Amino acid sequence: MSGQTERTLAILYEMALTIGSADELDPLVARILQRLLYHSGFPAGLALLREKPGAALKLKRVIGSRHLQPLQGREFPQADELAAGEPRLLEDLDALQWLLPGASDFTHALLLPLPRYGLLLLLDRAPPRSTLPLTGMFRPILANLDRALENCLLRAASTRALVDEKEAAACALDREKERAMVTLRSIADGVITTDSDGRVDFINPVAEAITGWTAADAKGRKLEDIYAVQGRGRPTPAADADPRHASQNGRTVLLTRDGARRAVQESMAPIRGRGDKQNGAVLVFQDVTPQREMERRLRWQANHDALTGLFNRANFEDHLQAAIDAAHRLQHMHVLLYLDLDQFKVINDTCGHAAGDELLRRLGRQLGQLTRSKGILARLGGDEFGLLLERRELDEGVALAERIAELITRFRMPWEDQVFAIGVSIGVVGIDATCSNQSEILSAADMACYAAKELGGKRVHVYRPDDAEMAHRRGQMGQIARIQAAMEEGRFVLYRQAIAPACCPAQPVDHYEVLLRMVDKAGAIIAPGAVIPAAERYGLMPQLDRWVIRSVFRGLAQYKVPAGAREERYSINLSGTSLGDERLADFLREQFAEFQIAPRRIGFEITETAAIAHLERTRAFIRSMRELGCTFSLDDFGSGLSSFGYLRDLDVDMIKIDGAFVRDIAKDPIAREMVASIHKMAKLMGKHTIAEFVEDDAILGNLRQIGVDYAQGYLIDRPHLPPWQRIPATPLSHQRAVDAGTTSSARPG
Amino acid sequence: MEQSIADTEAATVLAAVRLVDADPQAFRRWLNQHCGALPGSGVWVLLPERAADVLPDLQRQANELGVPLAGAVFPAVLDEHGIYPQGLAAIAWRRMPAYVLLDSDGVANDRLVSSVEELLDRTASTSVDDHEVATLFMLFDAMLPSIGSLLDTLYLELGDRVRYAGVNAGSETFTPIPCLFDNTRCVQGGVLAALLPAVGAELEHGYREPDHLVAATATSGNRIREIDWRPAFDVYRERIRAQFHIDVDADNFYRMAVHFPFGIQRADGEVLVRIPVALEDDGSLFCVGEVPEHAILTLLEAPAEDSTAAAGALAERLGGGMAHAAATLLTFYCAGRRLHLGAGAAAREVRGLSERLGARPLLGALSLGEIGSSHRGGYPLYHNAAIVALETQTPRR
Repeated sequence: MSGQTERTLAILYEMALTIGSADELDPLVARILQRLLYHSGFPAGLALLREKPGAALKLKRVIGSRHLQPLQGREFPQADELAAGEPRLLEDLDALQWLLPGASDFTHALLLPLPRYGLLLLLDRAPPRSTLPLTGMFRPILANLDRALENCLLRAASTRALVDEKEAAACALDREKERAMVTLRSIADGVITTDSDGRVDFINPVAEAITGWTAADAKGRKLEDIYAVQGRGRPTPAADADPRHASQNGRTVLLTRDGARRAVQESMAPIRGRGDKQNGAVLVFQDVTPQREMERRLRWQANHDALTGLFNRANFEDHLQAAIDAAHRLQHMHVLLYLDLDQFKVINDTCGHAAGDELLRRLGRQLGQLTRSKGILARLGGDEFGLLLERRELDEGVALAERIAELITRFRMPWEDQVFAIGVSIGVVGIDATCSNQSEILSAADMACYAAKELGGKRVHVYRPDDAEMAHRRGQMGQIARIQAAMEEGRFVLYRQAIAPACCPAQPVDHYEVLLRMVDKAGAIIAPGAVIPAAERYGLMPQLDRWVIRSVFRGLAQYKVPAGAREERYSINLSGTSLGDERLADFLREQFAEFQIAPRRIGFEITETAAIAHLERTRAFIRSMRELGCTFSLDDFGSGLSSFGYLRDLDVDMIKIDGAFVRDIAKDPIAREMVASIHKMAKLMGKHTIAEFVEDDAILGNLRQIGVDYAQGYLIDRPHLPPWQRIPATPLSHQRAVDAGTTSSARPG
Repeated sequence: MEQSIADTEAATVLAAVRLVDADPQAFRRWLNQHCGALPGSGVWVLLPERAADVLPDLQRQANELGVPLAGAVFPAVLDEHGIYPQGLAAIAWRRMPAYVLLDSDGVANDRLVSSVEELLDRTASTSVDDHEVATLFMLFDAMLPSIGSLLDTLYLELGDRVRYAGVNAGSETFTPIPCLFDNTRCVQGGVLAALLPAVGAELEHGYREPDHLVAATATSGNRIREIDWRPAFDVYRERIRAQFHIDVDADNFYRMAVHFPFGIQRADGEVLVRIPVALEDDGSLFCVGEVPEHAILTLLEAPAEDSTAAAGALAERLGGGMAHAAATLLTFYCAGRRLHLGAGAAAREVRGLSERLGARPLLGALSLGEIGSSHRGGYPLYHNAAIVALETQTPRR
């Protein structure tokens, strides 16, 4: 083998290896051109190639010429002629001016056509120096290169298809991911995802807002740094957690980045990859701080009194029931204190509810301080409080009740320019295994409390089953049932008693007080003293008052006054409860209208105590009724608070001086002076006076001397059935009983 | 020997000097004299490896004078009178050629092409005339195993935007040392590439064209592991015995191999010289310069000691293409060639080159590999055993 052949074969060998190892078009073309230049000594070369057989030739690659380089990528259909034929040396490059306008310093070219895919062109500024057969030696290489180019193009097309497919899949994945991201960003819950190391991978805006961490700051940090839960390490999904049934926890407290605490409800689930391998976790949580706060507030409200902050009645009853159960099961002893403030209504009505509320608040605080850790203190309603002392003896309860009574007696509340004092009546009940139920115990405590109040208030009364007072109260309670039955069965009857001018009581009378009497099932008249207190205590008075009003009106409407007779006027007693009924005035207007009764014929008697209990409402009621023409008397004046100040506030027509003074007027100078003073003051205010209990001439004489305007009592007239009264089915033939029922009071209640 | 021409013309050599001693103070005085008052001027320094330890002092002097400095460490420096293992050679430029110094990371991360493109962009409107193609003069660390591939890449990307020339620096013992430097750095395993104005650069080795070919069937970088599918040293030894009737073994390899380098055959008849410099235990041969896999090799017959062919050919080409007869010719002479010819013959060859060019002043160094095109504007090739001559300009009077 000659040296030239050896050298040729060596070069072809190296180039064949270069081609054989190529599988991508651009590197193959570059490498082939580069090896050709390297071996041939040509300084520049280019490849004009088709992307498939028959397609236009495109300048695919230029090496070694900065002037030709910008033409890369351009199509040159003129080159088709060059691509045909055998490899050849071109010594006249004029024919290449379409290609070489800017590279005209090239004078020689080696043209290497490829069978199908175009041509290679090597350029030089001088004739080639090689002694090797350049035009012939590359022929096998060119055929080889042509096939390699085809393979690369096919591979590129295949790769492009795969890439397109992959890109389409990636786009679909991106869209899906984008949708998921948008969803995660849009949902109202906080979402954090982590990788398998528990580091934050994603955090949505809601989670950013709750935790205080921005997505940028949070990414890559440990989950427990971002989602720091009080008293807990990193939240972890249960190993076997099913994403559809993620763990729930409603009591988690999250510490935010700025140290604030947020109540959260969370669920966490693992993210699983292939082979069920856990790739991370997703944590979903909601900020339930407002809900928790609301729940807490509702719970509190359900168990507490909003005004005082003490337990409320429902909660107190729960504790009481538990105490009763413990007494039954464990033979425990407990004590129940039932507190009712004295004269609280006076403060409420004279200074308004704001003052009353403030008093209850302050008193609640003081009671709370005094009884703290001793028992369960609650406001049971209005001005009533309950205190349950668990596992205490009765004596301890009584001692504490005394201290409470003393505390409240000493309690003072300044309000505007006044200072209020107040008292309390406390009923005390022991609870032991013999107690039957809650209502019985509460009833006993209530009775004991009422007894304390009846005894003048500011005191403690201990419930004892054998206590006379209690027996009386129990009797009252029995009476209630009888009253209700009488009402249902129409066993009430009205009496009247004359009110005559004191100066001349013998003259014909036209003014009467209406008196209410109950008839028992046997037809006996029941004393009002046994009926009215019970009805007042247990809230039956409004019904009774309305019954009286309607009965009087109906009677007057139906009764035909004899010719020449004077028009009679009637005073009807109204209870304190009725005065507090804002619908009473409307009721009366309806009755006036229905029965066509002239309002001037009707007067109302109200007690000082009842008026003061509902002062504002009473004043409004008086005003509205007086506008119609009705008159008003202030009953039992002098027996209660006896404040002349109220006289000024209550626009009444008459003052009824309490019978207790009148009865003793003839023999007790103080009683006489009291009557005289009341009369004098009434006169100064332009009001008439009426004396009750005028039972003999001596009393009447004193009254005349004082100047009292009217007299009422047995001396003047005994209670009797009015002519318009419908006689009950059972004959009322018990005049004795009637007399007995009106010995001390003309009041119906 | 000294030349000094005061001139302010850009891109010209103001002065070129070989200092007998690498004395920093002497260097400072010379530098101050030529560059101290000239903004934009700069200096190239060629340091023999024996004097490499003065580099920090030289850098300090240049920095104190505010003069840009670039250069490399070589086995020795030379001038038209001979080759010297001590002293230093310095070239003062009227305008410091734009350059980039990449360390091994820069080379490994393929920043050479982009760095040169930046240089071209930066100098396009200033020192390099758009109508004249600039010369990219490269100084590689000789220990880089892939210089041939780097040149391939450069040519693929830059083509004829520049002309290519260069040499390798480093230690003649092929011990890795930091050998490329500027004012603040001295890097190892890197490249220093400078853009010179359009000047002539020529290369010649004068090795005879071989007859018998072998294939480097397994190579990696500078290492030939197999030739004709057999351990490289076995084939190498057989070919030397067959062609030159000399026995080479592991003991005399270092002495003999320089006389029998490999040649890489090209189709245009040019041969690239690769001198084996190390024999590995596995029989592979370590060469100066990359040997591509599947390269076709031959065993070259080195020029005779009294051959004047190379210097003559080079002088002929230089004389035909270079117009600045008075200017210093930057000359790099292959250290392997000197090993083959011997120190005396090598010095004579250098002197002969000067004389053939009309007693032109030469200044340069012994190099460890040479880069140039077989003809102007051609493909850059990596050579051994060659002489590279780089034309400079004198200032206009």
